[in-house]
Amino acid sequence: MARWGMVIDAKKCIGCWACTMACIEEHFLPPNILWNRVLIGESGKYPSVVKEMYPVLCNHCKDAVCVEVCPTGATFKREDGIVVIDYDKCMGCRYCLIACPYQQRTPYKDDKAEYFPGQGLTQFEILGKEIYPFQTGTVVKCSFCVERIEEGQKRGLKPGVDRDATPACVNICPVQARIFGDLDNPYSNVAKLIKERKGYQMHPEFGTDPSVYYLD
Amino acid sequence: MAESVAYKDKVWEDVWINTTCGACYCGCGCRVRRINGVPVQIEGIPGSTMGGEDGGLCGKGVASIMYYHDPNRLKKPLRRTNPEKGIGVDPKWKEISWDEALDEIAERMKKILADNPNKILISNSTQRGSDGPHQHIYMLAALFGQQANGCFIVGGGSLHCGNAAHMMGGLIHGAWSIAPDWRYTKYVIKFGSSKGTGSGHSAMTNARLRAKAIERGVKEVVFDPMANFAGGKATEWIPILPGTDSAVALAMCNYILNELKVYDALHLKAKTNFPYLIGPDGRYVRDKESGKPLIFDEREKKIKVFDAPGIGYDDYELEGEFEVYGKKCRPAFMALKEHLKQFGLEWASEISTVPAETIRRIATEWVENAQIGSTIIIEGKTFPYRPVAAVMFRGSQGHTNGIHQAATIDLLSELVGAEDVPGGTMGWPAIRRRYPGGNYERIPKVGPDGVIIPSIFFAHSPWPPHLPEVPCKSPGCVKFWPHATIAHIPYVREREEIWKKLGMTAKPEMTIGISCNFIIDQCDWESTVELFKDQFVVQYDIWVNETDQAVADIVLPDVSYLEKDNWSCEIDAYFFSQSPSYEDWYVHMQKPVAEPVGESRFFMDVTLELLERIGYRDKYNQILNGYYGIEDEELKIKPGEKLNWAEIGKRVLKWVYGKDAEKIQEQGYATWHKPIEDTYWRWNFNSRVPVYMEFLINAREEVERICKEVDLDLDYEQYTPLASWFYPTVYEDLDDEYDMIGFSYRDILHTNNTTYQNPLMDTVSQLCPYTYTITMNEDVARKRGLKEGDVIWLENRYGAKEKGVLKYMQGQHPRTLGIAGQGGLWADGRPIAKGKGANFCKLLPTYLRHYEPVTGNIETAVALKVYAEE
Repeated sequence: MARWGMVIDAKKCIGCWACTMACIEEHFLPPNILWNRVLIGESGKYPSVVKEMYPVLCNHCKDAVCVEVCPTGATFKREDGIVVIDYDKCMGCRYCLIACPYQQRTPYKDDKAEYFPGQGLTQFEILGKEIYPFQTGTVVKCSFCVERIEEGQKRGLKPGVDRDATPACVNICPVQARIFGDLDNPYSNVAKLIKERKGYQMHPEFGTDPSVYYLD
Repeated sequence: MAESVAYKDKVWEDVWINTTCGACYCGCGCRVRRINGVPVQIEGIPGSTMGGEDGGLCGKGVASIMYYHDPNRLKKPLRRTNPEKGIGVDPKWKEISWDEALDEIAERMKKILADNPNKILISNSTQRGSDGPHQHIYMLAALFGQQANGCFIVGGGSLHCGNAAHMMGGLIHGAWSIAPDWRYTKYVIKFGSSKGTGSGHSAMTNARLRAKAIERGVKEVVFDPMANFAGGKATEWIPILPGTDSAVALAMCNYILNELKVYDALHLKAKTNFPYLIGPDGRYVRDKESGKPLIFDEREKKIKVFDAPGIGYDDYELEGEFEVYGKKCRPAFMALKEHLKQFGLEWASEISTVPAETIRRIATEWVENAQIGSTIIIEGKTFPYRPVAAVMFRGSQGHTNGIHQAATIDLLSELVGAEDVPGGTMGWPAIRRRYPGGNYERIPKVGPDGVIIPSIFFAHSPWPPHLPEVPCKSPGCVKFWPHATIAHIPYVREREEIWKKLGMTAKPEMTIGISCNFIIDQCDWESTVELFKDQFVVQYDIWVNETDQAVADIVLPDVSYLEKDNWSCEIDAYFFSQSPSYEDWYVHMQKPVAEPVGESRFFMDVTLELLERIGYRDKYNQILNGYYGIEDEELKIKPGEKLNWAEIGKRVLKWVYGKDAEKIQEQGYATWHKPIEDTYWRWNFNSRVPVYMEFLINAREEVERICKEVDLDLDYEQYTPLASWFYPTVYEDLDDEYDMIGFSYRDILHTNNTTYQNPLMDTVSQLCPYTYTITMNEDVARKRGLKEGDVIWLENRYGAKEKGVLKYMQGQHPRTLGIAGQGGLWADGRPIAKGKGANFCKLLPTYLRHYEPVTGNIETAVALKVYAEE
């Protein structure tokens, strides 16, 4: 069984936030909920300064704390390593929100929020509520576009290779800074990149073994 | 997206439609997903290289779905009922019918056109790609008989445009712009430019190509006041004071030529005018019969005309003293060598704050990486291989010394022969090949003195050279500023006085704008309001922006690109979207993916109706045939034919794409192989570039004469044949009180000011530390007691001020203040944008001396005092 993971090449990232935007549209995310973000800052002292841009998302950790603390089993880890939430089981206790050391979980509490505040829902939002409904009071996060992976695989497509079986944020990156594949397969694109370019996990000291790696 | 139970139940339509992104002027190929008639998702087109990597698209592009969904979209034409105009004045809009609106506009136009067509200003913008077809405004100018291609683009491209960059692009490369040949380059120097990191023409194409170059280990050296988009991602960021790039480049050139004594002699002999003999007055010594410039044939030891048959490139002499017609003369190259000697490393360091040792090291690395003399074989063809590129854009050339900034940076590439050859500095796009079996082709020609005439150019082609003339008949006064791509005079505070002095009597009475925001994106707001407040202002837009609220009389609801059948967008705008490197040809068009919002109509269809109403339709049909070069009688648009823009497209596309027209229109794009000689076309094109700008000597003579005659104060010293050093006016305005240099830069998240109204972009802009803030070097700010998060005021010496939230940066030159994009907005018609960020443009003083005297670039750096809000 594969363990799906992502490699993000920070050297290539130009900070355009396409990943965030594609994610919003892929999942009809309501206002103020982002499953993908870019952390931006700088390091060094003038004049030796480098701008830091790190796209972040759920790390789909191997030893996911959120899974451990979930009292209802709503958050669980699939065999392929993807951490997902069953909204029907989520009771909104937010233990996971506190437990996630990467701050990748958001409570969905305001189903009245509008992209154009006070001006009503757009057709985009109305359609989203119909075909990609969220449940008020639950916690949401990145799903590695599990639906794309599942649907794609059913059609014999390969995640990370075929567009229709690959997360939207990976497809949209204009500079191909995101690569998706099987971490457990030493010959996969992701495993090779991690080895060749010394890929690293964000804050390995948290001990959760993230499935998202970074390259500098 | 989940094919959930809900999805299967409720979805009756789920399709992807190929089109062209309209979120900025780059026009990347994109496809839009429509579910149940609703556009919901945007991405790149896998399989097209016009834009991001394999279906990639930037964040703005993806988010531009909101152009369709914005409830603030105009749904009916609006008429101002309050005769008073100005910032803060309620226009008291009244909804009117299309008929009422067009009746009034047509009536006004007829009257003005009968009087003097130059009194109408027509402008589009680079705001949201809604200005396509780009050439439309020039066609109208020609149609109405406006002088010198009209008053066109009254700064429509706004602060973000590059008059000097475009002039040099045209002169040197026969092209609109420059970029590194990412595919083969090894070493890139960027001066105030973010090419490859999100901005500039072909933004995502360049970003994609740069990312590949990064993989291969390209070194990027960035001279910039801040380490943000370009500098922050560079291999080496070198902080520099705004507008002093030419000092550094001149010192580098001097070091290369006079210290290292290294240069690509063959390139200089074959591709530049440096071998041309010049007399003591700096002018070419010309053959008495043909008038052609003369050169010295080293092999035959003879004076000849520059293009005499049988001279090998090696035979052109670059050095020596000669006598022709009893006059002493020497190759222009000698003048360059001598001229450069005054620009030492220490001198440049003092001006720019870049350490002399750094300038020396970069110059050395530049030469080492240039591999002068090496060749490369691609597709079986041999070319010189010069894997170094020096590029600039808005940042470095947007100063009152702009032409010299652009010319000196170009000189770096000239000296080592890295011009339009593999690995070098590429002009693009200079040529447009016909689609196989089609007809529309644009190839540069060779003009006077062996110099390239660009195949197509917005506004004035920089070659053949024009001499300044008076009287000027159009408000842009482009006859007097023939090197200006975009007319600046209407914005200049002393405009009325200048018009009077230059004999310009067509004071503008009407402006037609296509999604322009004149007040926000140019300069001093007060001066801009003055320009428009007594005019009849008509604007096509998708919402009511700040300019409309302050001065527009009628606002017509335009469609967004998502509702637009703009088959011509790439044909007319290939300037903005093609690849600078060795990649396939591609063509793209905009196709509607949704029904127009409310009563909105594509401005081209409205224009056609207006032309009908004012009796210009038949003549316009003729112009269209001419513009697209349609020779097939059946396809020509005939007098009396009242086709809409989509119907015109059916004809034109058949001419342009031949039998594949329908297929291409259906698919929305096409790609085909680009032969290597189309990429590096200039190497085999028998032409030369006027690096020695001899034509400016004549221009100067005329400018000086006219200025003295009419008592116009203009710095004509800048009309010099050799690129030189001139202090930008910002430094004259600096003193102990106004001691900081403010500059603006493009944020990857924003296109001028339109994207501020996008709720998705707004959400992420708030998460970016620099997008909505004013940045300042941390140590300097601390010393002045300014705290991060403080509201600070910036004020120029002419009383204009702006406030914003302070953000500390280490990666910022200590003497500067940075503001991204064009925030500080206040239009009621754009509530998301309202109050976001800070506006830099309003801080730019707009007296004539703040404009570059040759090309008309506004000085985009400003002396400011900074203080915390009480």
